[in-house]
Amino acid sequence: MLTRLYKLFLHLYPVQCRSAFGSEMVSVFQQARADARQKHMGHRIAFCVREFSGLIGDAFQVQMQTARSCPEPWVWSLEAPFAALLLFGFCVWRAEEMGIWGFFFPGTYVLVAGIGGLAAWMIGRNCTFMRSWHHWKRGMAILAVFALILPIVTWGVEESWARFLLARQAAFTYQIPGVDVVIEQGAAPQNRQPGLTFSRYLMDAHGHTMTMFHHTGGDTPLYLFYGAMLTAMVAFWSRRTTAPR
Amino acid sequence: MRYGVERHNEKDASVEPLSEAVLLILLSLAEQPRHGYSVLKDVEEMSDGRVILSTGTLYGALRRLLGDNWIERFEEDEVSRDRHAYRLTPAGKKRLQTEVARMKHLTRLAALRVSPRGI
Repeated sequence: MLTRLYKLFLHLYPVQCRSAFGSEMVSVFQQARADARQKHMGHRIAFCVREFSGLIGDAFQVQMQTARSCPEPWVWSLEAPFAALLLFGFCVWRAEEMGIWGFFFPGTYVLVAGIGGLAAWMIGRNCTFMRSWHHWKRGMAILAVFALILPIVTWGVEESWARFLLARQAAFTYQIPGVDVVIEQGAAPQNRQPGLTFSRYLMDAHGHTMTMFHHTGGDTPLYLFYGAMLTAMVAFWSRRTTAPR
Repeated sequence: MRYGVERHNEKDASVEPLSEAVLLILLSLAEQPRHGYSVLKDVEEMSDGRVILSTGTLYGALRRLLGDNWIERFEEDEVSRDRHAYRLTPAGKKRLQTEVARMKHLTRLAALRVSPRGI
């Protein structure tokens, strides 16, 4: 079980590194584990924590190192995070019809960035499954993955977040330049400054109500700036490590 | 007009003091060529259990040492399995000697400056 988990975590490393050292690392892990088994429980727990934290930390370092030394221009890594943002933008645009919101919870942005990066890493040439795929097929795969995963995750996360707040009758607010989100109990309408305001009204079985407001000054360039920054960040993080196409 | 930019903030690995883990790994390989698990156990033994490396940390260090050309990787002859061992290169031996000399100097200095009466 632990060895399987260890092998799974080895996938955090770039392919080249994994193929060069992976089997050797598993072999050393198995020997160290056999040693740890003969000792008391505390020692075994410490062994597991040390091994997995060491593995994750080292894999992260290797990924960052390969990203920094990647000979390929980082713009080639834009497709997946850009697709993520495009789809997220579409969800926001059609939020009311689709029932998928996403922008009331700040964590959604991080989630979109995370999924974008993960998909770029998986679908990019770093992933052995799709390494030999043609460019357009990879693009289709990206869209398919996002079209399925992103809306579901966005909906799930925000719905849980909203239900959590509603059940506890809690309020929440966050602000970033140009964006103002207020979640408050009750159904009182708010008079806000001119601009674009989305609002969502929720009611549970006990009759508790909650209203969520998302207000912007209608400042599109600001959104574009945030989007571009996020895309560039994710693209850098998920840079390819193999030869250019 | 053309101009070039040189980076001066890069650390030079050949003059930077070694971390304890790396020093112990080099010391372990100085005695004889070893495979990964043997290095792991030897480091633990040399440090009296104070430095316990995880597999990830060990291989991270080994990769860096391979990159710096201080150690080399080879297949063990007597074992048919896909098992690699590591040994010091002449550059690695030289680096280790420099580090040991640096530490000796520090120890001498410490002995002179911090006398038992002074503590």
